[in-house]
Amino acid sequence: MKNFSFRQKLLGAFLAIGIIPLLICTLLMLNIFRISLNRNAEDTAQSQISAMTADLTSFLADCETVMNQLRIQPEVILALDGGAGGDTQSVYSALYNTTSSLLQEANFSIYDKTGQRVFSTASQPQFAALPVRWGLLSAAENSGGVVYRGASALSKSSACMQAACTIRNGGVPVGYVVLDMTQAHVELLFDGKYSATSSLLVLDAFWDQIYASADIPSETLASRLRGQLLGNQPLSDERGAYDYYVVQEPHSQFYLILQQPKPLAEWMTRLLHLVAGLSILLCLGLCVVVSMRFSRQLFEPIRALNSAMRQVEEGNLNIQIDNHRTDEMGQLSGRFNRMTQRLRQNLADSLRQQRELNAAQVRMMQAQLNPHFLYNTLDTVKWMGKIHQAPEIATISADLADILRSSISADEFVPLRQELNLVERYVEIQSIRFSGAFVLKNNVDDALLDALVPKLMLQPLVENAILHGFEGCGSGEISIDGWSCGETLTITVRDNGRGISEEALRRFQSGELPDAQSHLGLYNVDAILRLHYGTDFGLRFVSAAQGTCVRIMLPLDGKGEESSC
Amino acid sequence: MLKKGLSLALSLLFLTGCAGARGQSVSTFAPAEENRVVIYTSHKEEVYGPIVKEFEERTGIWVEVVTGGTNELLTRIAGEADEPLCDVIFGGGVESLTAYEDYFEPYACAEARLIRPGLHPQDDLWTPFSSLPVVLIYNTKLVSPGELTGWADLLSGKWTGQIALADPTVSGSSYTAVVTMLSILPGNDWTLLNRIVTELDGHILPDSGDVVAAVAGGVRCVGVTLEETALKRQAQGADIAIVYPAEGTSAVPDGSALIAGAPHPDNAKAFLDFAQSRDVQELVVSQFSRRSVRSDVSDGDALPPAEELGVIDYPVRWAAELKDEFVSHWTELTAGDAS
Repeated sequence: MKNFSFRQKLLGAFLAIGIIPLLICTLLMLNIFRISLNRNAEDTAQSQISAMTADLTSFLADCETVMNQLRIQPEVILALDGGAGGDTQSVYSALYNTTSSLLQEANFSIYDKTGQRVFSTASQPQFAALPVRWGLLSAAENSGGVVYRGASALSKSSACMQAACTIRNGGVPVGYVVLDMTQAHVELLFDGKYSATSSLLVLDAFWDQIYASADIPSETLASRLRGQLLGNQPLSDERGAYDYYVVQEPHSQFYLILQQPKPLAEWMTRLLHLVAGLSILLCLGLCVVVSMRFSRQLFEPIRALNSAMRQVEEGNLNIQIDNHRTDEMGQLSGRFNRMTQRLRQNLADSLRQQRELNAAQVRMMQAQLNPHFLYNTLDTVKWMGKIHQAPEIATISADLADILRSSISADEFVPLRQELNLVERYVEIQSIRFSGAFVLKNNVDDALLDALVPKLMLQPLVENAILHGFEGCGSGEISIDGWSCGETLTITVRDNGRGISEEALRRFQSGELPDAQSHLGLYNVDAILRLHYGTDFGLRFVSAAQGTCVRIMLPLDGKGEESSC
Repeated sequence: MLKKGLSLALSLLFLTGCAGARGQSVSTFAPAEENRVVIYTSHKEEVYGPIVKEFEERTGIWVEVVTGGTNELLTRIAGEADEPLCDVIFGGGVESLTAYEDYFEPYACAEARLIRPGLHPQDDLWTPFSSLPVVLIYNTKLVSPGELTGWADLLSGKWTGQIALADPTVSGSSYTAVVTMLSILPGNDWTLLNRIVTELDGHILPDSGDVVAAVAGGVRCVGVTLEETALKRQAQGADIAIVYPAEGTSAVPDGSALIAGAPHPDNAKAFLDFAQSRDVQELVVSQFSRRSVRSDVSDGDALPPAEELGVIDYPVRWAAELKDEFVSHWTELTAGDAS
């Protein structure tokens, strides 16, 4: 299941829903139809054959009564036992009187003890003798009652069924009463008692044919059925077109077999199956067409979306899905379109930023040319100062060169030691510049001198102290203290100048940008620290008795985690 | 859920399908196994029919009859030897039966002592049913009475090419007739056979049933056949006369045998007894133009008594063993004759 596409699954589901119920329904209907027809036919046949058996039983009972009456007729016994002395007419009179009710249905005859026929109700003599030690008469003598037989092939008679009983005089057999039924008699007996399409077979106790209705064409049918009975197979003719119903008649032990055409003839079954098959095929075709259409309709937007996605995957962001729908698929397509638009825009933005960045880098590279030249020039100035005995020029140019080197170095973080050194150079320059004596006291723990700090962090503070704290004075003292408290490095820059104005302090603390040039350095340092280390760190003014004290705090481990930008 | 529903529907279908495929059950009418017997017979229906019917009526045993030629049935019995389906083989010359006696079980019928002498095998492997003398016949319009008296006349050259004889390699009765001739006539067997083939002059009939027809129809003047066949044809009015050979003849019986390992041995024995019973033997005489094998049943009045036929002691076993050699000689002789 998992390997099929969505569309195939949809198709399969459609087919299953379309076909299975129809198939089950059709088969059920066919079967129910067949069962009910079969049951109907079976009931009819059973009732017919039961009625026929009952008729045969009652007829045979009548015959037995008549035969039993005949065998004790004194005239008959006298005629048989007394030899020629009997009175033929009185015997016939007794014969006809006794059998009058059944004369249409059978012939009655009287045989003497040698098996010669003496009297008969048959209009013309059919045969004259029966063996007494074989077949019917022998069986009658042995049984004492009435025995029934199919007519033997040896007797060459026209009868198909015979019954006989012995006439005894004082226990000694003197003759036999014999009943003959011809084909016509049996036909008459069962006439109209079964459907015209059915046929009747009468078999003896061992399933040999006694009578077959005229419409049974094959003479081998009885032996075929007998073979099937002995082979324990269901009864059927060679084409399987008939059902057989069997009942045994209790008097004679004969079997009545009704052959009835199957209620559903072969061609009809075929036709029904054909119709059912065709309708299922039609349904199948319809199902296929509809489900193909439907699944295509359902699947098309998914397919379009899928292929658009693939295009996006391959980098084509200009793809747009044509969308005329308003259902969920339509919304999905719309969102996809908007998503690609946004992606496109983002890409354009980042491209533009990249371009700007590149431009800045180019500018920076260009700017880097000048400091080297300046640096070399300053070096020349230093040496010229020394040559011309002007040590201040040499000092200033050397200091300036150092500061310049620091400021143009690519390192963003430098050891605190270097920073302090830079501050010393700066103070030296300013001392010469302002002809003052600025004293720089360095109270930083030696252990902290290797800590990394942002470049040019202390210089603005010192500059602030010199430009604003000592404004107008020729001298002053600046002390830089540094200590660590846990992981935090704290550095204070303190001057003994005139202090920061209230106005400037308020402004600084409220975060307003300073006006003009004043205190811009402080703002920058604060901003740098916050950007590098987060808002927990930064620059603070500490109240002092005289002058200004600025404290900066930063983590001891140098580069802050948040310095990544 | 879906699967459950589907299987429910399918089982419903299956059930209704089963209900639809209903057949009339007749097994209740079928006889129990102990009331059956299976008989293979090579007799014609007019012979076995009344006997089987009467047997059924008297004993209540159902008989399943399988018909076929003697050799066909015997081959079949040999093929089924491991698991016999047949109880009794009924009919077939005893020469043929002797060849297959490995597949039979000895059984002496209840009234075996009443069997005529000479018809009764020592080992009881088969039981005789009727006696079938070999006779000569002639067309009464083509041959005058007294012209044909015995076997020697056939070889006299008078009827060269006019003798009706079925192919002995095919027909059992014809083989019996030829072996009878070889036994009775003096001289080397194969020389005699050569003479016979010469007299036949290549005109050999394919089937024993054709002999009487050929003589009655005038196609042949004289013929060799069984008494039973000739009598039957004569009764139908054919222009043939029967000659009992002056040198004597054979009266080889046909017989029945109990199959070894038969599924219904008791019923089979009952049938063998019945086939030799007086009632059946009388029927054999009165209805089938055959001679009884019982001493207490006299042959029909119209027939010469058996004692006058000069019946020889037919060498059944020798004849059976000779068959292969005979066939090769015969084939050689007839082939040479044809070329």
